[in-house]
Amino acid sequence: MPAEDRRDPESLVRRIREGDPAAEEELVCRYRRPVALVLWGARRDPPAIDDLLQETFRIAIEKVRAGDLRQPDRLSGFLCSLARNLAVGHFRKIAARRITGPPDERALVSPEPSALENLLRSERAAIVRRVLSEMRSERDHQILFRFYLQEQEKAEICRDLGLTSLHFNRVLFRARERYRALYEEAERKAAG
Amino acid sequence: MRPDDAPLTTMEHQEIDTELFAERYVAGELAPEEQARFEEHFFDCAKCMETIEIVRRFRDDLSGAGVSVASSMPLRSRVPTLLLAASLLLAAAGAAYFYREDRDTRRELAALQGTSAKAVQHDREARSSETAGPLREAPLAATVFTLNLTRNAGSSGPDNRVSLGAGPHWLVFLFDEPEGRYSGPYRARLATTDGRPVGPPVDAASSSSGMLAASFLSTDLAPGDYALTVETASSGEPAPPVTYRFRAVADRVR
Repeated sequence: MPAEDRRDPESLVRRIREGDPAAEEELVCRYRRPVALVLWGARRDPPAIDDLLQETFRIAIEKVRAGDLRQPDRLSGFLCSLARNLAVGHFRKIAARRITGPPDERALVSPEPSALENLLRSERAAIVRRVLSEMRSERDHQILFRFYLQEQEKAEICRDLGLTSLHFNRVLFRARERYRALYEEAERKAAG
Repeated sequence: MRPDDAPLTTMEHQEIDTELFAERYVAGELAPEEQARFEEHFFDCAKCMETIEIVRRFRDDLSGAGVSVASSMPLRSRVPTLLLAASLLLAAAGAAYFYREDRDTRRELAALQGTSAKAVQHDREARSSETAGPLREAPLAATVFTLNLTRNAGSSGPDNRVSLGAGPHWLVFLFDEPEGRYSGPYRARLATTDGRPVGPPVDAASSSSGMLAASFLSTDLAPGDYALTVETASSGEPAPPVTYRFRAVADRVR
């Protein structure tokens, strides 16, 4: 099969329907990242994301195998909606259990980070400090702090600091890209 | 997955960048329909997915990097915070001095006095740039009071009592951050209960205890009843102001 065909969602759906296990694996590999992001966007609860991720692919593969996916070219949209609905359902269940049922055992797990997490966090914190130190302007620091940490509206920050929308975007873009470069450099060093 | 340069059907990258979709997605600020649209887009867009992940990591790391409110404020706003921090440390070191008269504590105290003096110098400079009038002598000591909200002040007046003490010093008020979605910055306005303002409004800085702090000069207050109003300092979605009432007394409260 030509490479282009293999990337085509319709071809992937067809192969899953035909019982090709490699196609199922490919589905998971290809869509794991966006599904995880959608689940994170809905719940922001890492332990639940792992469970929901598995559940999303289990249901998706069952439906595709059974031919329930009517529009194979809409595979992405189908997975996206499925992940979102599962996350919302899970959230409702948890909320109902909090009101009527026994306490969630996850609440008993210590929220403290492990030693490894602490180490990784301190390394990443060093990268962030480097990004900030490279931003000489106090105003740029303020933009990052107020937007990312205080979660203030862009319009409000621009008004307070007398900034244009373009300048604001540039600061955010520059910080984000510098962070990306430093982070990748740190990862390369750690790997090599 | 769609290559990065493929045409986008539901959302253009220009719109995504201009409207900061990735940042707002991570902050949980997109409207439900915007979020659904963006999710359907990034499902097939490696570039956007990577941006979301970078933004998410950067934001998490920024909050874990010990970046404080004070270090991100402009110098003018930072001076009262520096003063507050230095004064609090000075007060703490002073108390320790009385309990443990050892050399180390004296050294620490001397260092803190130096820090505080620097902060005062900064304050003088900031004030001189704001007003052409004569400078007031800034004190080096501070007294900290925690203010509580009380619903009804009885006949005996407000429950909060503040001792003005002797000599000029900073009165540092600690109080809870107002509840609600708004997360600062805040400003504190001090006035007598009949509405006469006491000094200009000051920034309410976050303290290490998780409370907000605002400092005023003791010489600006006379014995009497006061209202400290905490209000939003930016012009975005305003939070309702919260008012703490207290009685300033000339002597230490017994």
